[in-house]
Amino acid sequence: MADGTGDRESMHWWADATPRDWRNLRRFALAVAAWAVAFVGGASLLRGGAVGTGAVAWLVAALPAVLGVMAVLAYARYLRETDEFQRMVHFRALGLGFGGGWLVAAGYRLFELVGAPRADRAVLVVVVAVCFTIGLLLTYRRYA
Amino acid sequence: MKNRLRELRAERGWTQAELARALDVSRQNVNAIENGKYDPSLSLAFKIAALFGSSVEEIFTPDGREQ
Repeated sequence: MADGTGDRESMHWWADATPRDWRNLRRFALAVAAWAVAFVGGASLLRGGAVGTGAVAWLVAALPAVLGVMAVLAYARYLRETDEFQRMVHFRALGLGFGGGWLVAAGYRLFELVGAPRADRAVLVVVVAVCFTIGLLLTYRRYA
Repeated sequence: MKNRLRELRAERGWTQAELARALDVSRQNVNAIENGKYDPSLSLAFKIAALFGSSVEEIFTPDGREQ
């Protein structure tokens, strides 16, 4: 809509988020980054046996879960405080992510029974993340 | 639902971003409402009406009904 009133100044959600959304998304991104570092680092330490099997090992294993809860809480706060349109977009994307994860988790099990390679449980996380991202992009595109 | 949001905003010379800031929503929200792709909640519709000094009925009308 090039009517001189800036309708098309940007069609990207990241450029159009309110300061409140930016703040909440930054918190969420930091929590996810901390979780990823703790998860990868923790798995590496535990696999290498660097922390043994005692209390320290349990702490290393528990740290990603704590950071994961923080990430979930940060995302829940974003959903609670963002505007109704963004909430609708994210709910649709979450639905697609959940649905995609469920279909792959349930469907691929049958393929495994007929000889397909056994999938790592971590693949499910990737499938959910990919379906969620596709859901976000499709919904933003639909309403842009 | 049809609406006159784009027309009212243009009358005041506001950008979508300025209107979004005044309503405390994202610009995509304003864009989607103006394009008729998204119907706002009742509370947002009242907020929009208050901002423009109009009633909700003066800005929003159901599809198929003349304004």
